Amino acid sequence: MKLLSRPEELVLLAVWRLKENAYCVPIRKQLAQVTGENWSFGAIYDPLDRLEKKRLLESLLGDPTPKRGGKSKRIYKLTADGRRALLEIKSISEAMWKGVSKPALEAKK
Amino acid sequence: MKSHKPYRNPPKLAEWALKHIYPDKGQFTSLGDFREEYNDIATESGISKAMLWYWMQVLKSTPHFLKNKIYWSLVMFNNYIKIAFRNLAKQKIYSTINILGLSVGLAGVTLIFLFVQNELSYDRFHENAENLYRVYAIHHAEDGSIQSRSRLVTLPMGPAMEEYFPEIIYSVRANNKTATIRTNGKLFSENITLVDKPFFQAFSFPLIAGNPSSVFAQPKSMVLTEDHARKYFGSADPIGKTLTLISGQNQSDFIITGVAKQPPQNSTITFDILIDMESARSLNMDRGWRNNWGAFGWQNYVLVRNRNSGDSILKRFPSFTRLYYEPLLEKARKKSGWKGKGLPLSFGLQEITRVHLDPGVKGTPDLSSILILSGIAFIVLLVACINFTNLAISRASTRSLEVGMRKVLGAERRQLIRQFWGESLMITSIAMLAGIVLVGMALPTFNHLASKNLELEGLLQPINILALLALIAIVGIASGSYPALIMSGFRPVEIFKGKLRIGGKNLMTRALVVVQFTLSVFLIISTIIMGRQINFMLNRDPGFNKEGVIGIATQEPNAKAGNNILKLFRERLSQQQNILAITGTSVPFGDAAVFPFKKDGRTIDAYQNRVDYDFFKTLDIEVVQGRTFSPEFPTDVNGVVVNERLVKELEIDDPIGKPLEGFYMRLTIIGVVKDYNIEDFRHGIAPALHHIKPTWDIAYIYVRISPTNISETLSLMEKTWKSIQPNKPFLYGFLDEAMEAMYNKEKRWRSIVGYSSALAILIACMGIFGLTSISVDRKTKEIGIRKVLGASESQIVYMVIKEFILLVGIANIVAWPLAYYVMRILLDNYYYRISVGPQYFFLAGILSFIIAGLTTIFLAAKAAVTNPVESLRYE
Repeated sequence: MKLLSRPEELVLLAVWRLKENAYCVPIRKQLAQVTGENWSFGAIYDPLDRLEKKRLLESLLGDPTPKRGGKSKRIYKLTADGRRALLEIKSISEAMWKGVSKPALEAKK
Repeated sequence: MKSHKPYRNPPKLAEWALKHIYPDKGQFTSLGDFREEYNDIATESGISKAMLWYWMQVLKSTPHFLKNKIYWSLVMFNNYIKIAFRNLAKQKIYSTINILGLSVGLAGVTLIFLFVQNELSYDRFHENAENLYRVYAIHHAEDGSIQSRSRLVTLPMGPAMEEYFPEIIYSVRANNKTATIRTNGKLFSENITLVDKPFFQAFSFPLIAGNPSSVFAQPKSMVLTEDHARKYFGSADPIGKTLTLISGQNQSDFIITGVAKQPPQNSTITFDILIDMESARSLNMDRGWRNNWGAFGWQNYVLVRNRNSGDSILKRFPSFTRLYYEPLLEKARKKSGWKGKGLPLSFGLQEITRVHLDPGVKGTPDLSSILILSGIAFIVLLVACINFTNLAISRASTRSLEVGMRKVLGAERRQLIRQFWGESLMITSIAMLAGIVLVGMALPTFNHLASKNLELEGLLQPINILALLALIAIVGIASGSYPALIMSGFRPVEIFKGKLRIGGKNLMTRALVVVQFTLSVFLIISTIIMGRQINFMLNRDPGFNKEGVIGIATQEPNAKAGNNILKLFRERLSQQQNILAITGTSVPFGDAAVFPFKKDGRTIDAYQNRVDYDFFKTLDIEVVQGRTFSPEFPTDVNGVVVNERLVKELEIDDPIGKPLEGFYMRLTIIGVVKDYNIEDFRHGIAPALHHIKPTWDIAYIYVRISPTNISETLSLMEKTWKSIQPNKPFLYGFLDEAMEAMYNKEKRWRSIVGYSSALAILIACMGIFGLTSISVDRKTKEIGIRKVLGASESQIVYMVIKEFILLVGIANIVAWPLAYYVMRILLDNYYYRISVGPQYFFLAGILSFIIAGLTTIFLAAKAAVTNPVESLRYE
């Protein structure tokens, strides 16, 4: 399968982690917490759209809440392909990281 | 998250922008995301921070959004242009017809636009335009009602007004008189403009040499236009040189003190040579007008201080008028029995910018010609626009495939509308460019017809460029509205299933063709009838013989001198073999003064002519009763010869020997002549009387010559003239030519209507040519099958052209009553007019059938002779 870009990978993971509540606002919040960077919405819509096109994600309209001024949420869910992709990424990453230890990396520096 | 905080809406404008930048498949969940985040930030760090954040989001995404948007619209635009050009190139006949027709129509409109703009621009170039007025006289009837308004006022009025009204800065008279200029022994008859000294200060006619405030400071100063300076002095500096001005028996040397630029064509005041009133007085050029408060023959302009001055002058005009006319009123009451309570006269002011087109004052051209011209231009343009629409309709079936394809590929209706309108705007723009080239080519002819001096460069003014763009927009949108609004609404499924029935037998197309031909036939009929009317007037017997009569201007305002010239002329020439008769008049023939007879409460306007012996012989007017003037009867100076109409109107029984009652001179009727048309044939026969009072001047000599050796006779007359009047040029003209010149206006109109009807029918024919070619194209198979089944070629031709023949027939039926009605109104202006018989209509009808037939028959014939194998094989 085609490799995902790093933001796509992160977004995909965030969606899986958030389960039922995977829509844009919490995704952004989570990514911001983990990376310490301030993600713009655009930086999340884009990978979300691409993942949806690749059929790794599917979306459905959630209920509107008063906090959103009456607008629906777009809730994202992993497809079977999406889950397979995550597994694959995980195994690729683990294979790549094998034998790489923190002290070794720090020593090279 | 503190959810008890109330919900806050983000800034509306920012949200609106965001909506466009990120439409999110039209569901706008993103807006919800942003609202949620906005409220979170607002609760955590305050509303202003939230607002800042929101706006930053919008701003950050804008550049990318714009880049995308512009990129894609350019891609589509490119495609539209490509398709438009492909269509133009693919359908050569269609494109040629559209562009050619539209360009001709647009050229017509542009021409008329230039013309109208020029008409409206009159006298606006004066810097003081808003404070310049022309004084006009209002003549009242006895009951106080207004009889007429006239631009002519009296000579002494100007200086009197300047003195009476402090609001007037300058009162300037400007009037043209004919006089003679002599230089190096050569004589030239010139148009001399007599003006008041501040002429160049009041009006903005720039001087090339000389000072506006001092050119007339010295007596006997003269200002020439550039052209006339060149005429008399070539390239030499004219300032300080002299020309001799001769008026009547007086002459004097004038020093050139200034050279003026040629007055612009859109100026009411025109001049070649200017002198001031005082110098003119020293030459006696104002003889008879000087201090005469009863003689109206001068134009008077005033420059006032400010915008309110006009009103305040108008308020005090009655007291001014009373001051000068009250004493005269008493006299008038006694002399002519004026019974009116008030004065027969009042005055008004006319803004100089309105002088050219104010129909209220006699002697100003009116707006009707502008309206007629605009109407004609509109007709031609309409015919061209109809072509555009018609051809679009006929090609709709082909074009609809493109519509279907685009829709299938996701085009919105809005985009298609934009595409089609854009296309028609593009075609209109191309046509406009071609039209401007056409205007450039047609301008010389048009200028000649309209006696104008319009220039193509005039179109380059910003306002005109805007107007032309507006014209392109209107024509493009109007003519492209069928494809844009209707074709864009076609549904792809119907298009591809072939369910759409468009083009071919479309009612709209047919109706529009009928409109085109109705207008064309209408113009053809108008041309024919106008031509006939002009020929009729030129060939009608006016009751006198206009052939072989030569008129000579005596250029002598003095009665005694004029009479003397005639006497000498007669003495020296009457024995000549080729000179048949000689007479004289005080005004050019056909231009006599009118005297109102009062009879049983009505007014009979009679022409009074000061003539001379042999008048009726010279003009071949038949004497019915009595005799004409003869030197053998000295009492004839108190005699009068009247025409039959005057006898009838005044109800004089047995007129010979009776006094002419009601006339201001005591005259006895000595003869009655047959009626003749003293005026042109717009008017009927007027009552006329002729006398030979020697106190009246002789301004024109009329000579009847024999038709043999005309040039010899002319040179003999010129020689004689030089011996009698060495100081005046020999100015002569043929009476029949002068009579024809009376119909110049009609001839101009005939040309204009003729040209435009030719254009209209040409464009209409291009239209049906295009329609026929499309319909033949579509019927290729049908024709092939018919031929296989045994149809003859003539049957095929008939099948193709019968529809257009039918439409032209309907157009004729509509056009005839329309033309009849309009032509009746037009002909009502003429007392002598042709009767509007059916022959003109039939002629126009046959013409239109022949033209339409010729246009279509070739295509039809081509289709008819095609081998059916060819036509059936094409799929």
